[in-house]
Amino acid sequence: MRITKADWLRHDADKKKATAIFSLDFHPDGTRLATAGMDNKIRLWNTAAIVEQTTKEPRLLSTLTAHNGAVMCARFSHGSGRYLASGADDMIVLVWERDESATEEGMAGNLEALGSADDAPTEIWRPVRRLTGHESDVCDVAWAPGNRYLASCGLDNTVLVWDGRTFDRVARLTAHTQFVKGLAFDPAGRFLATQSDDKTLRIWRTSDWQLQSTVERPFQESIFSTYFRRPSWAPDGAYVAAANAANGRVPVAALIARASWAADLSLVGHHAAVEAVRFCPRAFRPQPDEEPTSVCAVGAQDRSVTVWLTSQPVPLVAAPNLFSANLLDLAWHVPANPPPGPDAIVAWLAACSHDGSVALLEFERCELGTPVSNEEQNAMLAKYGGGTGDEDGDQAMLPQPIAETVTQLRLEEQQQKREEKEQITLPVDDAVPSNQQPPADASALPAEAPPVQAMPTPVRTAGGRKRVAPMFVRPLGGIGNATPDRTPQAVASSAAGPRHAVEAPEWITAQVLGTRQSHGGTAECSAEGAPSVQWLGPQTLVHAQSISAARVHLSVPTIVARLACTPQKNTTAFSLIAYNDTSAAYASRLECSVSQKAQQASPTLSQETMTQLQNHCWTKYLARPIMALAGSSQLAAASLDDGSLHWFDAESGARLAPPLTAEAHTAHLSCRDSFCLLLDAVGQLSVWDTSVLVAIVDKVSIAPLLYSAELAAPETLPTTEDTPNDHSVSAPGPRHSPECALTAVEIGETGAPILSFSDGRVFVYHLGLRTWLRVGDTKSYRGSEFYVHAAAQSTSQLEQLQALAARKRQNDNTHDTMAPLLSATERSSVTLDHLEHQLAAADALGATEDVLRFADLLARRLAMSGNRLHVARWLADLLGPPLIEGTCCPPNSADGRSNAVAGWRPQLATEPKRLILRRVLPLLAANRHLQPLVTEYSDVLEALLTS
Amino acid sequence: MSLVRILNVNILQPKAPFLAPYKFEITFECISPLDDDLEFKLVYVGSPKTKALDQVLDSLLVGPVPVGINKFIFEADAPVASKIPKEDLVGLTIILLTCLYKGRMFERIGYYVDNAYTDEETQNNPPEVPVLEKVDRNILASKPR
Repeated sequence: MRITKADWLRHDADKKKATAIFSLDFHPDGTRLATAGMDNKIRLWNTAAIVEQTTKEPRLLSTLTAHNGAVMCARFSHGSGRYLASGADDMIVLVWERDESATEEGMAGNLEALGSADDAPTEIWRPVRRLTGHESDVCDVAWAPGNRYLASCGLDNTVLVWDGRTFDRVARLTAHTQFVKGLAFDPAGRFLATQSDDKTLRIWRTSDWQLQSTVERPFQESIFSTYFRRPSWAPDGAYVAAANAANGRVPVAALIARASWAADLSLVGHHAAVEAVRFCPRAFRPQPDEEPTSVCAVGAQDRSVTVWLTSQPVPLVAAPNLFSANLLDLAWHVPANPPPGPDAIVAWLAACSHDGSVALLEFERCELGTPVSNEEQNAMLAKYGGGTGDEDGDQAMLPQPIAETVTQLRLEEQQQKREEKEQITLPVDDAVPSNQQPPADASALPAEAPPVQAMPTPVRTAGGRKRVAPMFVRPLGGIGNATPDRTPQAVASSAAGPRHAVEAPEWITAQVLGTRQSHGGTAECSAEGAPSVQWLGPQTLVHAQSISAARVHLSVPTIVARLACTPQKNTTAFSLIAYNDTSAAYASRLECSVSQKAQQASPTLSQETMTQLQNHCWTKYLARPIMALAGSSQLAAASLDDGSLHWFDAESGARLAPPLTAEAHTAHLSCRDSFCLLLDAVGQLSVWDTSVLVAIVDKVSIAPLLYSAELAAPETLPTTEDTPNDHSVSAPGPRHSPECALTAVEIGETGAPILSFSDGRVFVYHLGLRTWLRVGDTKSYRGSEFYVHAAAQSTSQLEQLQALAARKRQNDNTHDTMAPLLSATERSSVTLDHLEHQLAAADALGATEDVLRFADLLARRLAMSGNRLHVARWLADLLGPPLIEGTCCPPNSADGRSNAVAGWRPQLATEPKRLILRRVLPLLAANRHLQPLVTEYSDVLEALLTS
Repeated sequence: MSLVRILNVNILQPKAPFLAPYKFEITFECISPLDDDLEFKLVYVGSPKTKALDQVLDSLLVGPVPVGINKFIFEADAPVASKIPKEDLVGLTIILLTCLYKGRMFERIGYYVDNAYTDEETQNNPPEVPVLEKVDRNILASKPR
């Protein structure tokens, strides 16, 4: 053993007197030692320089100065040691991350600014999270295995637990009645031990944050006061060591056995109160054939350190009088691959003191033995349900309770395979370093939104000052956004199949007159008799009397000489061309031709171009000019200026029905398969299935949609006035609002019409509910983590719609106000709701791909949240009758709707719910806390599917 | 410690006529929720001799500020030439971009501004009364202080 004390390793308050060092910790790779001092600073030291006592290398790597009070504790995260958490007298917990982007140049600048080479940092660490919530000094912080949680405790008698990824607060533990002066996570991940001046050590379950046990006995006789009471777990999880215990007035460190929580053993020998105790994170095997043993260091107010092996009744080493003042903290490091040989260094122990110095103890193989391998260490933890080990580190799957069933393991395996596959097939774009330079990031913004253009403009406040809401670029440090970044990628479905969207060439502007009424204008229209409507159409004459009384006026297309439309079906493209010529014998001519990709062309086709072969199919002559034209692979529809609607079979040109007589001019016409949608000038929308000649949607008014647009934008439109029924057409009030322009009309797979508005809202008419459902809304879920992605990615039908609407809105220069300030909990709640909304919306749209996609996302999210009730209800809904028969099925089940007849709809969109269930179970299995549920459903599902 | 850190200041038109507005694209990081707006100020040093001639070109409140990385554009009008001594109009001066929270300054970035005549003739024979139309300003964006 060798003891080193580097005289230069100090926290200088005024360059004369070294100030106390309250805490220290090794970086997991052993290259840095962090010390936290009374001078409000954390310093990172080059371990090699301490060990080698060289002067060449930089000794001080970085000085972290953001605390406004003495820093009481500093702890590196497990695994890669990406973060450093620190707690201080200023009641703040800071999470630091190394800023890799700090270039040489930047540092030169800093150096210049500082004006001294002494403090020149070689590394820049920046606070990336500031966790507030403690009401007094923070005494200790601890990372859970796999960095799932970060816990902090302090003189406000409370323990706060934070999520290790998002740093949301997950729990507040308040059972202690005195200062809480230390805490430690069980290496198996199941418990958190906290120790307090109330002379108790409490064991909390990490599954539900309830108290598992309270240990009092070893502390009852302890009359000493210590700075800290930091417990420490043995690397195999079998014991937790507690400082400042007493065994009959003798100061000891107590070893408390797991499960029984009995203080069986005491480490006796120190003359004064035990201030610090720390197990080496790695067990050692003294001889190759012996059982591994844990190593524990104990430091006391008698300024000495003892090191114990659990296999020996006496200490291995006692180092008395290391310091001139109280010892305060201990830290271990085990080099990853110590060289062979009996005198190789296998462990370092660092101790810090109130006198401001740090002592480093090096242990050789002949003293401790060989550190056990990682696998072996995990195997030791496995019996307690742990065993994620350090190596999994930041990216680890959450440390899990033990898998209790074969089903659970099978599901996990499925999930793992799936993830592997996805990783191979899909580029992972979140591989970029999280803390890259912001300018680079800014340029990576979606190209369609140039940063300058999208920049919000300042407004004047009441006080006459200019105020601007900044544009949110990205969240901090890449901590919280890993999930949304990755998951949509991972499940992004290919944009398979032809899109049947028929986008209106121009926006359909709308005018809304009068108040909202349940039946639109049609009820009264017959009573009114106002004839011709000059302003409405082009050179038109429409006998639609309803127009005068109608509350909605949509602009109608003007008659042009040539109208074309090319519905696509696989490689075959029909092109419909209408020629309007009023001077000819027939006012219009409708021609249909088929073009095929060359490689598929049959030799009989005559005309040939580079890639396409054109074949003229049929020609129709119609008596009046064609105003609107639409087609699909099965259907050609033409609307004439007298309001009649003609249907022809797309391939043969056979007339499918006599002309339909419409009430008003056609504002928009579109077709999909055998469906034909017509939106007329008075805002009535109909959809027919031409193959069976049945109306699917019968003259449904879109007025509610326009009205709700008005209400949504009260500042642009005055509140709706009562327009008298005799409102004459000659005064077509300038009520037009750009807010309620219709941007796209589509037909869903089931024939349900889908309408997108320029303000970002998307509606679908639900055939079962017979009403409009709002499936897209740019405003409601702005806080959601998936909010941006909905607009940026357009791989799916639903998001394409929503993105389209959102982009139109941007073009319209109606800038969104800033994303609301949301706390992390609010944000996660909004995100969950957003995903549920998306799933329900995808279902309403009949978009199966989207249903699958959002089911996956929702499952991942639920697995993360671990909300059992929520998961249980969703699973019950997906599984259906045999399980929920007995229970009362809530009318609002997870998909947002339920069938009134059976109480359960067997599918979402076109996908059977049980197949969705089968799909999401492996995802939910990722959280072992849900395994009773997951296992139960998995078993029932298999039984159902096989029977 | 500072909850807000300026990550980048991008001067959009470093070279422009003297009377052109100043435009900065400012990117900053905020690590904790703020109760109040941030205030950004641009000060033009009219004369090196006295602080009294400093002109506040503009002041802008920024908020609400979400936790994360944000950016905005700060646009300020050119200084009022009549308030600047004739001898200091042309030549080197300084603009100061200051950031305040609740009235207290937490960050200040200075830039040199070179005001010079565009054509050689006036460069060599500067007129008695400066001709502002011929003066170009050049913010030395690469050398913040």
